Amino acid sequence: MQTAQSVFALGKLQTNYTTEVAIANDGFRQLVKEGYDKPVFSSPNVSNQGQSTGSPYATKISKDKDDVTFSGTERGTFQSLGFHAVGAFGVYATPSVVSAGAVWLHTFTLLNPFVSDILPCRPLASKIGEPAVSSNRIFDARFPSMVYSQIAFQAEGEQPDLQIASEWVGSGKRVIPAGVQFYGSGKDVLLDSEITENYIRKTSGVLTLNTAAALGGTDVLPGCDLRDTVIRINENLNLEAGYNGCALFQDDNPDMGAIRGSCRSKGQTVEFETTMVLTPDIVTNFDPVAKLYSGASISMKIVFTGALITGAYYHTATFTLNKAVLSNVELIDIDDGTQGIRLVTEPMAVNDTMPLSLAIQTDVADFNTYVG
Amino acid sequence: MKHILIAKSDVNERYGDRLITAKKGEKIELSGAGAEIAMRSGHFDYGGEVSQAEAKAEKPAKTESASAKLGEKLNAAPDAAQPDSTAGKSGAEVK
Repeated sequence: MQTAQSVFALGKLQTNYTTEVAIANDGFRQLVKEGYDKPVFSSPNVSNQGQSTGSPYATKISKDKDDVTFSGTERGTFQSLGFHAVGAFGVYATPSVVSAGAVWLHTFTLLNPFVSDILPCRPLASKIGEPAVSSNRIFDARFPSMVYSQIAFQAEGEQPDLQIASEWVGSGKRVIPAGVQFYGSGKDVLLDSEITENYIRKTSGVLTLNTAAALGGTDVLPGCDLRDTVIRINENLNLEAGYNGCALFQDDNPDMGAIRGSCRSKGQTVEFETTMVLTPDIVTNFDPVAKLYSGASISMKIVFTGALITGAYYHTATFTLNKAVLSNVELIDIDDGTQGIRLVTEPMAVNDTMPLSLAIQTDVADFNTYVG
Repeated sequence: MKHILIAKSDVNERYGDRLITAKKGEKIELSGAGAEIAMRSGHFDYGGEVSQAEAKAEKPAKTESASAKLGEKLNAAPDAAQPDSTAGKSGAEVK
């Protein structure tokens, strides 16, 4: 039996889609390899069948569009949450200082597609092979310009802490070998042991019911006990729109297909679902028949808390869901008998009201450059 | 057409693939789309358009200096001139 190994690493944010970042010492973040699937690269051919060649059969095949996808799940830390959020949300405000030199507050919001529809992107380095055999059995590649196609922040099932599940799509360009050194002196990838991050420990929520008359939220219920929560951002990428003006990526090699010169979003959408323990407060203030029904509008804060940073400041991550319409509400049993209420929202698009924002209070100064 | 924006405070803001950084009081020049994005952040005061005369006067100077620098580089180390700066390290270095 052979031993196969794979390691993946994501680099710093690129300045734009067609400009790669220079490979620098410790400029890449190694991913938890068990949680990620190997990148899937495709380079399909198309035949000219059906065109007027005078033959009913294909006389020629040509390269079509190269593509690459990547996906995986990792246990979220406050720092990795910021690392992912800066690319997946798209807008990252100037961080505010909470405690000088120690604690910063970072706010992430979704892209307004009328202002910009291009998400930030990063390079992916991938090394797959049998290191015990010989070096030429190692598949070593770098995929520049990887953009999120979907990301889900989930605390569900047997995983009460936060899991970050992401799916990516690249430009189709690959660089072989990657030119990224994973180990040894002068390495370009931070080792797991070098990354000091703080895991997410507990979840709580604040539910606001938006009355139909004034969508401002009058009934507020702090301290919701949340189970099985999933917040999902679908980037709705327009994958066919990017095949123009790809000067850097244009290649005369007949063995390579076309690659994207940009990757635009048609507009992000947000989905949310959670289960709340049905406390007397919810029954009194949020009567599941009178108020929490399919079609009702809610707002919600989902707060993740972790270890102390310094003084009175803890690591926190707060997702704010703004004016979501419930698509499905049902009363269910949780924890072998406790009554719970399951809320699922309709997908929310970005408009004048930002449907989702994320605020992270942590010890990282700037997520524009952070890798680990 | 370029626009001058003046930072009201220290700015380190990202909008999509556009990262805007400036110190308080610093003047930055951005083209139309970039200026629009930066203005929407609320961190900038509008400082007017860059006049065509200034832009024209600056252009040749920049081109000259850039080409001069490139010439120096090429003369100094002809072997080191790399058309693709993103190539990174050679495969031999990867262990």
